[in-house]
Amino acid sequence: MAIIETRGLTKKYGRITALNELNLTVEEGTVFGFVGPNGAGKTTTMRILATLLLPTAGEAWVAGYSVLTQRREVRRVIGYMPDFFGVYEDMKVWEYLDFFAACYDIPAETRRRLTDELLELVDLSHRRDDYVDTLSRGMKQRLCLARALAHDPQVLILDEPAAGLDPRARIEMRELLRELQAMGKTIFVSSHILAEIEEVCTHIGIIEAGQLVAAGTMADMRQRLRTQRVVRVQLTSQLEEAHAWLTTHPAVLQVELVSDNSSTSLRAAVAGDDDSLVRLLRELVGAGFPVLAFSEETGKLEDVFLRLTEGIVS
Amino acid sequence: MEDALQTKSRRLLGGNLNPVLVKELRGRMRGARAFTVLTVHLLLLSCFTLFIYYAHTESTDPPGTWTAMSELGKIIFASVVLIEIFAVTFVTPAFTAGAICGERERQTYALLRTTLLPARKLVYGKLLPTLTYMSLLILAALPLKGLAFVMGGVTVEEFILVLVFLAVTTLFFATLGLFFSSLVRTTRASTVLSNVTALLLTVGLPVLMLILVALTAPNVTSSWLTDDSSLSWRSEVILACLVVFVASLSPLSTAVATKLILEDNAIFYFWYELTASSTPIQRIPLPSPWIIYVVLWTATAFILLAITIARVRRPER
Repeated sequence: MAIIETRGLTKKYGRITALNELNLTVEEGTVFGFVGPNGAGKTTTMRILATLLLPTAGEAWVAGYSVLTQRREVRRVIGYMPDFFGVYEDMKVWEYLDFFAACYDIPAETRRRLTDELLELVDLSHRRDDYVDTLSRGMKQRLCLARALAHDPQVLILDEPAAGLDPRARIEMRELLRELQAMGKTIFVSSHILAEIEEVCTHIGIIEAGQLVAAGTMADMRQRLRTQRVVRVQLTSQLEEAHAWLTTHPAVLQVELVSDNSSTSLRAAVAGDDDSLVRLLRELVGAGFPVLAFSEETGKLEDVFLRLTEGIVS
Repeated sequence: MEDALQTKSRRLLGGNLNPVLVKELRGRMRGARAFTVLTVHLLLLSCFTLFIYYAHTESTDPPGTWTAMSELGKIIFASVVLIEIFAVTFVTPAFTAGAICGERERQTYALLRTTLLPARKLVYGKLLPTLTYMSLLILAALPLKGLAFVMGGVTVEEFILVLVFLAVTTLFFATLGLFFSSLVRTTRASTVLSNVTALLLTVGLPVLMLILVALTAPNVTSSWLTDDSSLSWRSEVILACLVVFVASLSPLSTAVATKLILEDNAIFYFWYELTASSTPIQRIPLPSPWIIYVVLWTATAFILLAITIARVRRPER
């Protein structure tokens, strides 16, 4: 079931078209990575879905509610975290969460328990009585995520949640997203750096110049790389001979010697499907080469991203 | 202990009240700022009152008579009220001018607008703490005004009237600041607009009125008032109404005009004696400027409030 859907979503700022008839579907329970270069239209899409911005044309629904006519219902089911956000610096951490919980109509009696649970979830229990301005950027980011979770929303709309975080904070954020997915939340997360969210996403959509250029599951997107497959062959000896043998093989497009820290292996680009790889391995062993390892290199999604986008707006 | 305090503060302050109101009140009263402003405000007013007291006592011979004390009471009362009018006019919009655009600048506006908090609650939550704090400043200065009351020369009615007048002025200038805050994107622009408007209304309008009266009065007296036609007395009535209306637009001119009318013990209305020679009526009743002021600016305040709420409710285009 689609929990987020946009149809012909268009947003124009004067003569500039930020979104151009965007049609997007996000299934319930998925972690949908919304990737694109800076200025591609990610934030505009998210702001429309969060009921903050009116589209010029088209329509969007979240959990079946229209973002144009049922704004309050949409706000009830979403937790939104913008790309740039501020915190009230004269507030303590617990006061900050208590304030937003109250803004979500959560009764005063339950807010104390909820605040503690949220702080525990984002690992900030030890900072509950500190002023918000004393928190690090990563902690503020986690606090903002806890704020977005105060009313137990079905859908999380997170705009560049890992931006500006140090490596440790990024890993913590990634773990948190995994935890939230395990809790059954649908997460619509954007980033202009694919590697940042690649590991947590189940689905991905690539946007450029306001248009969705590709969308699908992670497996689908990786499949797109498979017109040309790369295998790493490790041998105990006869490296030069194997290199020569592979160079003459009809299925092999290119071979190179790759030196790692401790060993040297062969990297071959092979045309064909899984059966072609099986045949190649069989023939290699049949030719008497001492094959220690034969593994396919997983294509990085970054390659798909680079292939599909042309950097029009970045 | 800490937990118990938090639960208590949640129950007392938080409860299910407007969360923005609670946050703003907490933020405003936290730390020494609120109390410092209040103390400085009262100290300045007290010093000013003392100065008037000694200056008047020194210049009156003999001092301490009933008439002299009554006169002193009137002067102290008028001076304190005048200072309060200026304070309310310029301090109130300064408090609210950053209410909405300050949230935008702090990048917390989007966070608030995606919650279930209705626009009207956000606006009221910003307005009420300002009204509360300004009321605190006005009420804290009551003993100084009360001093004048004890000395004589000031009636209970005048006392109540001044409180109503200050309350309406506070409400109007607070909503004016809020309105500009929802209209522009920066606190600086909103503050400038609010203060310029306040200055125009308080000082600019009375000056403009004086200039207009000075320019038109000789013509009016020479042409209308000496004319025997039936139009002249009607024109005089219209002119009198217009003067009272324009005088009621500014807090300063309203206060001065009301004070003059109060000298004749007229609180709600006064009689205007027509001077036109062919008039069928000798005098007409006109409302006291403070009544027009209260009605006009209360209505305007609610209109500004409604516009502000509508602006906050509407998503960006």
